Amino acid sequence: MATDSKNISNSQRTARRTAWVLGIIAVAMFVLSIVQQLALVHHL
Amino acid sequence: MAHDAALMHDDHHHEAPEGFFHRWVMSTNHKDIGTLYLIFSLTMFFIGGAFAMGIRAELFKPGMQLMQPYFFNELTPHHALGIIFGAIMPAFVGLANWMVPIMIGAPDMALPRMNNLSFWILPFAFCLLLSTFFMPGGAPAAGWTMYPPLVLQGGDAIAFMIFAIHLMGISSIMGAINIIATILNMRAPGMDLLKMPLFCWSWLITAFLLLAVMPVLAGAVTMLLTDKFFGTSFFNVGGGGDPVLYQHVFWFFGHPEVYIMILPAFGLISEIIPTFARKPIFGYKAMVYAIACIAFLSFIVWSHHMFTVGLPIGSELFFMYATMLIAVPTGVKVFNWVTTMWRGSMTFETPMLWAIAFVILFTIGGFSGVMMALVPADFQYNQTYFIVAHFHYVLVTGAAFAIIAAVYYWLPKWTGNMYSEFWGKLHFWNSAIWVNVLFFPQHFLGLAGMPRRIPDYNVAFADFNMISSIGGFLFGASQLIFVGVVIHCVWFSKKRAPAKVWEGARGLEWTLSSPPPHHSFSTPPVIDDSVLAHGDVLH
Repeated sequence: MATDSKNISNSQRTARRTAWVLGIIAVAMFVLSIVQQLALVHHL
Repeated sequence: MAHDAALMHDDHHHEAPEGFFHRWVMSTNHKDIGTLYLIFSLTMFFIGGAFAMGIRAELFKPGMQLMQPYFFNELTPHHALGIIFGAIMPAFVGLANWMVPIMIGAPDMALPRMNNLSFWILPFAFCLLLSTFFMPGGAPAAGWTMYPPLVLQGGDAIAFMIFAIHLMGISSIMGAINIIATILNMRAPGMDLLKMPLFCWSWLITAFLLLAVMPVLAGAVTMLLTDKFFGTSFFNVGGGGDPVLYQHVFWFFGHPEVYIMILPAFGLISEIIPTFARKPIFGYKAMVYAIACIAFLSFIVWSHHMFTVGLPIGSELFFMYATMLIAVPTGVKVFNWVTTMWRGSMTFETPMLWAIAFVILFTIGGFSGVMMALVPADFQYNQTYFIVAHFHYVLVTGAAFAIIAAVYYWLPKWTGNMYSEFWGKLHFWNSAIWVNVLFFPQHFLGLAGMPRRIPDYNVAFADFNMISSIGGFLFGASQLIFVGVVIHCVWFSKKRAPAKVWEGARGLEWTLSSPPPHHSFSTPPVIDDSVLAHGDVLH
C-alpha cells in the first residue's frame, strides 16, 4: 500500500504531520465553541 | 516532493482491483472514491429533490392538499440537509477527489485510507437522518437551522439527526484535511502554488473554511443534545441560557458554509470558461485573492442572518457593511469571467452553456443578497419567500449548475466516451428555463409578504405559487435527462473521447488518456508552463 507505515515517502510523512495538526485544530474548534458558550451562559 | 510517493505507487498494481467489494468498498483510489461520491451525490439530489417536489405539490394551490402540516414541516429540513450535506458538498468533494490529484500531478490523495472512511461514513449518516421519518413522534421538523426552543419540543428523533450531523461533519473534516494535505504536500515538482489551476485554489481555501466551521456546528448541535437529554441550559432561558446564543453559534458555521458551497463552484467555472473562450483566465492572481478575501469575510458577517432578533444598532451596522463588502471580491470574479470571454473565440458546448448560465443567474442571486444585507430592507424580507428565492438562485443556479457544468466538462475524460451534445443541450435549456419559472416568482411572493416554511397560504399568493410549482415539476423532470445522458455516455456511447477532449483545454488532466489509468502519474509529470491551465505563468 502507498501508506505502508514502514516504508512511507517523505511527502506522505509530511502529509500525515499536516493531517494531525489540522485534526487537532478541528478538535480545538469543537471544544472552544462549547467552552465559549459555557463562559457566556455562566457570565465568566 | 511527490516524486518518492509516486515511485512507491509504481511498485504496486496499475489496474483496478478485481471484484466489486475490493474495487468499491475497500477502495483507496482517488478516482474510484470520487466516482462513489458523485454517485452518492446524484442519489441524494433525487431524494432531496423528491422532498422539494412534495413541498411544491402541497403549495400548488392554497389550502391543505396532500399532506398533514407536520409532514410538510418534516420535508423542509430534510430537503435542505439532504441537498446541502448529501448532494452539493459530496459532489464538490467527489470532483476534488477525481481532479485535484490529477491537476497537481500527484499519484493519489495524500491519505487514501482516510479518504475511503470519509466517503463510507456518509451513506450511514444519511440512513440515520432519513430513518427519523419512521420514528415515534416523527422526524425533526424545525427547519435545517434547528433553532431552539422549537427543535427541542419535538420527539426524541432529534438525537438521531444530531448524530447524523456529527457523522457528516466528521466526513467533511476528514475530506478537508485530506485535500489540504494533498495540495500542500503532493504537488509535482515545479507545480508552484501560484501555478495551480483555480479549482485547486478554490478547494484549498474551502477546505480551511470546512476545518474551521464544521466543528462549530458539531459544538452547536452537541449543546442542543445536552439541553434536550442531559439537563443543561445553554439555550434555555429558564436555566440562565439564551436561544439567541444558538443562532450566533449556528450562523458562525452557517455563513462560511454558504461559501463552502459556492467557492468550489467559482473554481469550476474558472476552469470551464477559459477553455471554451480559448483564452487564459483574466486576472489569475486577482481570482485567487478574491477567493481568499471572500473566505475571510465569510467569518465576520454571520449576524446578517439574525438582523431581526434584536441586535444592538452598532452590531447591525457592522454586519451590514461587512456583508456589503463581500460584493467587491465577488464582483471581481464576475468581472474576470466576463473579461475572459471578451473577444475570446467562444464556442457553446454544453459545459459552456451551463457556465454562462451560472455567471448570469448566480449574479441575480448575488444582487438579491446585497438587497437583504441592508438592515432596514431585511426587516421586510426576513422569513419571506424573497429569502427562499435568493438562496435558491445562489445554490441551484449557482452551485448545482456549476457541478453539472463540471460533470459535462470532465465526463468524457472520466469515461473515455463522449456524451450526446444534443441531449446535453436539451437538458440545459429545459433546466435554464424551468429553474427561472420555479424561483423567479418567489421574489414577488416574498415581497408581497408570503412567509416561508408554511404549508398553506393566503389566496392572494395563489397564482405565483402555481407558476412556481409548475416550474418546479418541469425542472425536476428535466434532471431525468441528465441521468439518461450520463448512463448513455458511460455504457452506450460509441464516440470515443481523445486525451484532450476540448480544443481550448489546458492543464495536466488533458495530458492523460481518457479515461486516465488507474494510477494517474506513476512518475511525476514534467511541468511544462505552456500546457498549464490558467496559472500566472501565462501572463
